[in-house]
Amino acid sequence: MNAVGMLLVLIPIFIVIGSIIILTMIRKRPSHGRRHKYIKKFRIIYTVILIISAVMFCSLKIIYTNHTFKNNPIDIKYAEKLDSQIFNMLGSESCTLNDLKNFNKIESSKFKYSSNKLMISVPDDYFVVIEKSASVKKEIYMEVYRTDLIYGGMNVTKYMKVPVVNISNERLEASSPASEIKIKTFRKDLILRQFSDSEYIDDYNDSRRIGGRTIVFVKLPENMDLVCDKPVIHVKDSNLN
Amino acid sequence: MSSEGIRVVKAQFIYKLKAYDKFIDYLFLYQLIALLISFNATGMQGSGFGYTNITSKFYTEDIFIIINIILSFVIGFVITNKECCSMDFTFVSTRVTSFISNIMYLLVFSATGSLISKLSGMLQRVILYFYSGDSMFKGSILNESLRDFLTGFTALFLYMVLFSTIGLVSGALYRWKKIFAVVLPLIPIILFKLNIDGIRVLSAGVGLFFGESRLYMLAIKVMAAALLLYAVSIPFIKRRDVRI
Repeated sequence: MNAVGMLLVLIPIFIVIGSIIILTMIRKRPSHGRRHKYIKKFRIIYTVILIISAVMFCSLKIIYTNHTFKNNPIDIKYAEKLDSQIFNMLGSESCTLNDLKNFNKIESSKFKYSSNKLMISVPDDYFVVIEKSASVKKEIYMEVYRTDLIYGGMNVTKYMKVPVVNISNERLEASSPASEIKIKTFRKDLILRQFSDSEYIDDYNDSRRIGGRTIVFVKLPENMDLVCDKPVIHVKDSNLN
Repeated sequence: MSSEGIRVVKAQFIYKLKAYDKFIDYLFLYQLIALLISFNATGMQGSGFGYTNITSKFYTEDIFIIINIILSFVIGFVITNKECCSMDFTFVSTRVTSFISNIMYLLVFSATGSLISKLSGMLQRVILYFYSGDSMFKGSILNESLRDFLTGFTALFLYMVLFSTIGLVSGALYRWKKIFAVVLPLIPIILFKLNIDGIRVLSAGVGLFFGESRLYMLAIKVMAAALLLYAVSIPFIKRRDVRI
């Protein structure tokens, strides 16, 4: 047996022996009078708190009976499908406007623009979709789409901050404010885990991220020169309303 | 056992419920400490992509269970000491009636401990729920069903009975011969090292109970182990000195 193994075996023994010594020392003090009164009060207060918390727990359970903390598995599959759709679009460097309808539009704006040159700058994890249209004159339409972000089986999209898009000096710049998403995962206790099926354990360990992709769609005049520091997806048709 | 013996056991048991109420105080105190410790996350996981950072903290009720199991062993051990045994001479009793009343007390203690532990778990969840700040929850923060509650309660009760029995028997052996103060701590170490056909005896023994996924089987195993331990220890208890 190595030293670590020996220590692991001895730790519970030390805890038990330590507890016995502490209990024996406390036990020898008189347990009546003022000290006893305080302990009795403490016990009553703690019991009342436990009862109140149990009632509150049951009430919260009734209120949130239909509240799901997890996403429907179908939504996860759908998010996976959208994820692969985006990468297919990027692979072929082309898409249709109907493809974009599958994503959630979170922002749209229109800029007056007279220059013949536009530089697009977006964060690394963004996708850029460009449509050059003869119907657009001295204007730029911009739309931001986003797919649902699923983390560990939960939809956390609403906690993502909306990107900020600006246009100035022949440059369209999209920036993403930092989003900090905090999740508290409540795991079943070790005894319940013993009687649970393996499905729950897998669920607990699930830290997969699906979706959360941001697409910046820009519609600009046909004759405009475009500079972008990353691969661009071009719209094949021009049936935008 | 005669009807007189049953009457004595009953009287001793009722007396012990009142006399040992300090053990229930310890139970409350330790649960409060466990509650404070439980607000520390047991683990953390992070994921970042682009400008989005996801931090996931894990919480469990494990600490309530661990503390209760340790405490049940300690109480089982302490209950056999000289002062507690002297209390039995308030009645006309034998070592066996005293032992049986101790077992009955430990059953009540285990049930109380298990209930307080489950309720403390609820308190922890409610506090976490209301003081979660801008965090969101995943898992069983409110999803614990009545079935989960009863399963957890019963299983913890069984474990507390098992460990308090081990404590009681260890205490009885220690009071009989002081040499057991050295021998008893060595037993887990020997069992840890003992290897039969490539199977570690200690891990096999632990797996026998903690690896059981059926509650009724756990109950049968705990009852069988407890009865075996009681049967083994009764001859030693009978041999202890008597007070004149």
